[in-house]
Amino acid sequence: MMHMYLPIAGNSVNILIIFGLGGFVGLLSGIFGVGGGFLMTPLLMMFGIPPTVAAATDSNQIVGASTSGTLAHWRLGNVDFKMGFLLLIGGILGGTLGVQVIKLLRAMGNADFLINITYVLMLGGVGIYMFIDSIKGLKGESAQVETAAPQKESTYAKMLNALPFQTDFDKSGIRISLLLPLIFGILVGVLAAIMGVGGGFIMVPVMVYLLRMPMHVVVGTSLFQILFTCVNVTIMQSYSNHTVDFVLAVLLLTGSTLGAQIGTAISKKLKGDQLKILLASLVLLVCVKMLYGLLARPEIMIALKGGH
Amino acid sequence: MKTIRIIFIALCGLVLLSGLTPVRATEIIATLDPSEVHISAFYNGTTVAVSGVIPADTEAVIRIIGQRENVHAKEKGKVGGVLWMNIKDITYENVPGTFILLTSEKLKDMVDSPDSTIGFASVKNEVTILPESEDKDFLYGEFVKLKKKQNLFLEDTSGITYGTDPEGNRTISANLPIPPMMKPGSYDIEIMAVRDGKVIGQENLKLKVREIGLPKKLSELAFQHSLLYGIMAVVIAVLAGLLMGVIFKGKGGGAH
Repeated sequence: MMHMYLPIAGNSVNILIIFGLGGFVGLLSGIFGVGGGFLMTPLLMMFGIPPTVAAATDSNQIVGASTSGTLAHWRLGNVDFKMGFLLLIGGILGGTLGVQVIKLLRAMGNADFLINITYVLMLGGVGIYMFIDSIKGLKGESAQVETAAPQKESTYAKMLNALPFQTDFDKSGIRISLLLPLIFGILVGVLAAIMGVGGGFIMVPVMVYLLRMPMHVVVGTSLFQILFTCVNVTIMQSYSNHTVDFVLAVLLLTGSTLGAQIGTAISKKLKGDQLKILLASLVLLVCVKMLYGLLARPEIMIALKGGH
Repeated sequence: MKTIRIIFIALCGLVLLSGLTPVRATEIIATLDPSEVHISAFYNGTTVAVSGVIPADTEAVIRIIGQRENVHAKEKGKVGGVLWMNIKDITYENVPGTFILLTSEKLKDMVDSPDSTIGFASVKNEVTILPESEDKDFLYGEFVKLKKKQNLFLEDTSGITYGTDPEGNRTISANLPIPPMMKPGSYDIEIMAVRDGKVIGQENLKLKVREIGLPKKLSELAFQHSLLYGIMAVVIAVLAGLLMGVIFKGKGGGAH
């Protein structure tokens, strides 16, 4: 009874391990609004799930986790639906574009190298920036920055204000151009498609640093956007590639929906800067692990194809 | 004419009788229990008991070579002198999905030799590795390593228990491992008797591996009604998420 057979993955897994994995990733998604796809897929592969099945099943699991997460954040008033929809539209456009970019790269032959380098650079850059920024915040420097900001507006802020279609986002308490979330949505969509993940871990920093939304709204809104992205991916993957393993997804879900609820409760207790520093550490950890994978001599000199 | 016929019948009878007398020379008798493996919801691989009789002074080999398939892989290599990446596309054509081999310690060297007709190397000549310019021995070796890691290629030189029956033949019994990743299908279990490095007799038995119950229903749905399967997966995930949300709202309080 400790093991269950996964008909699509064609392997059996230990129920408790998968339940634990789901719980851990659910906890993260509850706290940070990060889907956790960038962690879950490699973890599942470590436990003998084929790469394509791991990636597709993960998105099915994220649907459940982000439903319960979105619900919890919506009750707390943390979902900016207007922003979420705009990001979503951009994300879908960008995702479609990204799939074409990947096709082109594969035809040219060096796609995998580019994907891995993109991963390491993105994770490294985002992680280091968030880490430094949140340390500054914890030391109390962010308060000074806030008071200093109105006096000398950065060129970035000036650029933002010059864009057309300025509109109010009440939930986030900001006034920016409609085009901005659309454009960032497209950019994240492209990156997410290239890297083969939901894109939450790129979307969150984009919302915090580039759209300047408050952290609590960021988390709820990104969960909302991830939910719809993953619904799309689950159905597409089931339909065209038969790679969604429902048994595996249900096991992961049971763990992750529980974890997401606990995570949401934790996120209320933590300060924004503490949240950021935790997320930054996590992002850096994955970055280091990937870098190690690139530098260490592999045990087996071939890999089965089909991963992203 | 009549006498000739009688002699002929008598001769035939003798031949038949000799076939029924206790085994000598090259004959192998073997049975499988069970002869059908069922993959149900809590399946985690299993074992199949093989028992039988082989001629005296021989060693046994029990072997499963699964259906042939084509495998697409990537060969790793160094980029810029430091980074290990998947760089080259490699296709393995006509490789067995499973290769399980039980034998005696005495046959280990024979089975492991690079030109063995019994061990993992025995199918190498039937395998095509593309592009053909690549180092076939190396790449086949790496493929075997990968399959061993998945438990789909397996060699055990201590898995067979020997005994002697009243007629002086060797009896064999073994628990043949069926790894969880072994695909559903029909398999030949080969039982061979080896003397002086040569296979002097062989008996083949059929083993069926098939899905039943929940795994079977889900496979059918996923492959035959894939859109419905995808929508069902999403709906159940959303419902599970909502359910958890409701449960926690009822219990947690202060969620507003």
